[in-house]
Amino acid sequence: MARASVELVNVSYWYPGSSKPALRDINLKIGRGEFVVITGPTGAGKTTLAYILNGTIPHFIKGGRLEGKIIVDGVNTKENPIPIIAQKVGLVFDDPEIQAFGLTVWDTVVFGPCNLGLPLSEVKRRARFALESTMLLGYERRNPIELSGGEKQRVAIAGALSMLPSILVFDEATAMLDPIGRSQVYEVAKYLNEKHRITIIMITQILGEVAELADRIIVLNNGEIVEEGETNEILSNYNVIREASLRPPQIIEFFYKLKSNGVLELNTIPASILEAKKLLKKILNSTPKPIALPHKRRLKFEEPLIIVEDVHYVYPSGQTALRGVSLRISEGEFIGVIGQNGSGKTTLAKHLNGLLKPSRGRVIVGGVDTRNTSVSKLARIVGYVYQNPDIMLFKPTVWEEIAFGPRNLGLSDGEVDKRVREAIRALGLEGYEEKPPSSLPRGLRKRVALASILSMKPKVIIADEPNVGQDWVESLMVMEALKEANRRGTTIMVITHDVELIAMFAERIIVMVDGKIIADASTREVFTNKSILEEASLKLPQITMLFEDQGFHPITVSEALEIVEYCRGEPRGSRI
Amino acid sequence: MALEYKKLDTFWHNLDSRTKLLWSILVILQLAVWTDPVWQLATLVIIVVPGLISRTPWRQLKTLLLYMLPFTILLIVLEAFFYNPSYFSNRELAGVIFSIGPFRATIGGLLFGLNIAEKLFFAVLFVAVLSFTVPFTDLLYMFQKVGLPHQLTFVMATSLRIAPLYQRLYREITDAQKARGWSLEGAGLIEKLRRMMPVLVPLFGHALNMTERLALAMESRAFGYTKKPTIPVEYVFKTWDYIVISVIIVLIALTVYTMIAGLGQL
Repeated sequence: MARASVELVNVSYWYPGSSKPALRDINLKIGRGEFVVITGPTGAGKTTLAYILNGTIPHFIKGGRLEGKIIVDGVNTKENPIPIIAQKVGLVFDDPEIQAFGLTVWDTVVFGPCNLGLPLSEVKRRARFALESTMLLGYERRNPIELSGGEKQRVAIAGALSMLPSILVFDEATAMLDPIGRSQVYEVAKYLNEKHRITIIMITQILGEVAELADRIIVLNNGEIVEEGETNEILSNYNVIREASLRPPQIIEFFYKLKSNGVLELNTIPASILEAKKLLKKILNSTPKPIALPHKRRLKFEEPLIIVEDVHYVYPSGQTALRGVSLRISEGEFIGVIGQNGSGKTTLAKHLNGLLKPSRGRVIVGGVDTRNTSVSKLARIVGYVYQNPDIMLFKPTVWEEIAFGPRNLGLSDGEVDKRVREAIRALGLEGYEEKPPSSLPRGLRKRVALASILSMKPKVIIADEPNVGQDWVESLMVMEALKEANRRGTTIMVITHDVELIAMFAERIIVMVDGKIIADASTREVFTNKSILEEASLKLPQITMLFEDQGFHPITVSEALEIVEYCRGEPRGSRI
Repeated sequence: MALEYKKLDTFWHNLDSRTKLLWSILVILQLAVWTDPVWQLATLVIIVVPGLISRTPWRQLKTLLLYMLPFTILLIVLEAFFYNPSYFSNRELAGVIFSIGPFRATIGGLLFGLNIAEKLFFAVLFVAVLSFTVPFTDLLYMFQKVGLPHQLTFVMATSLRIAPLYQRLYREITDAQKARGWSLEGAGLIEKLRRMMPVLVPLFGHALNMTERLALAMESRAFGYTKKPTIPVEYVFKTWDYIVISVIIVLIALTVYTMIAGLGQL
């Protein structure tokens, strides 16, 4: 390893008033110019580690107990103030808007160097370097608020970069971005790492996307480093990934299951798609005829519950968000709406519960034109779960929070109690009834928000990015709860960028681009049509990509396993 | 009424921001001291000339000016009735144009009204020219340059940046609660305040969180490290700046003289 850029020796940290350490006995060395991913489930201590690296702990968050030695680029973070450490370690948070200063991109980028009191010529030199490195030259006069998510995050990176740090820490910096935004951030991180040898520490739960960038992965759980090793070594260790509640890349899960089912004998599981394709070709040595996998979408439905007819919508700012959208939604469907940020997904969804009324066209919900009724009345039919649970939660206890919606519907106390109990059970919230929602971790708060809609028993539930900010286990729990509601007859519409997750649950996919629906078909039809996904700047599920050269089109890992069994003459069921 | 700044290669755009600040002082002074609508027309010239030179897109103000028109006419009429004849020592100004019952509209009141209308319209034109030719952010840096504390200009910029975020947040919270059947419909004032809790509690929580994260982000960019942070804009006076400043200083001196001499007053 090259000279250490980061050195942590026996580092432990207790937040003020806490008896349990958020980090325990961390020993870590990161070499100059390394690209390291730090991962782990929600609450593992990842952000605490980032705060320790840039001196936020102990200089900003005071009153806790910090033990051990922390050296970043030769500077002891305990003994130096944040402005000194900030010239060694740049920290980029998940929310880019909070990291914009002043009214233009230029203001944000020069903010740090100006605060250091550097000569104007040096400020300009640094700003140019930062803007060039983040591909933002020409954006100087733009207002950061008007930029796309990926651009905003690049502005935040430029702001940190103009302090000329040798280490950049990305703390879930891609969590709120769409796939295009995420790839822009990865591209910048890779460029800075390769061209300027800046040490990159990427804190993320999206392992599949960073696999090809990272030299090393460190897995944190319960405040401890539970695994550390080269990227391929960690990624191919399925058990480590699962135990840390992380999402295994689909190819890893696929080969691990083949191995553990005794279908394959493998020493190492391939982590890259190229290696995996070669191995798959060997497994499927014969080339049987492509098999027809079932379309998950039920083809016959009753009378539509929601009718959207040629809807156009223009925001008061003049921005056109929907351009002639038409669709029909029946009771009992499970629909995924996918597309980039700004494609019109949320605008469309807000038309279904009357939050927005069409500029042209009409939306009929349960036989009523949304223009002729109020949102609170439509709430009986359409429930909406927001991406950020904290904009919904305000009551002193979880029980009260979940009871708020049913009470607004004017239900009797007995009925409210019954519904709250059911929703608590469905979301696994037993034991939290009397806790304040604000004191719970984000994953649980998200479940409380969903429970508060489930308890209203609407005919349709719209969930906006239900998995953002959650680890894999939490995401699956929320999706399973939605699926369970769907089994009981509730129509579910999930707005997401996550093609692999939605492929596991939805029967029908609507793809939106630039305010229009470019595809509305069964999940399989959409996820096996590369050109549609490319038009929406989305990627095929990894497992579909793995099989595309073999003439098969699985969209989930379990389907892929069935294909292998079929090809090896071991058909498992009547579906194939 | 503010227009979006556009970087054009015009004589007025190319002047130093401090020159334009001095011009602003002249305009504001004239708007403040003169009450005679005829004298006030000189201010129009002082605003329109730079506006024409900088190719200010006046058309963008059309809607706003049209909206202002009925309100301004009403204001003129009310002003005419507000000043009764005894207010004026000048007989001409005390002249009554017409009466409605005990209320008398005076010539002086009408002229006062006209002057207020001028002030309103000229202020709109002035802000338009200023915002079109000086980026707002440069104005803030300029305030810093002329001695305003860095913290104060930073707070101004941050407030302007954060305001739309709060606006969006308020809308999102309101929408989220509406989707849970919450409504203010049919509630009286006190009840409305009580029912606002589902919106105010999350809004307040977010505000606290945002403030803390903002403070952390500022600290990470060394805010407060030095008492004299660098001003990232170069201010350079060129020959034309000196000429224009000289003209403005003369005009300011003349305006002050008119004030002392009681000229330009009704």
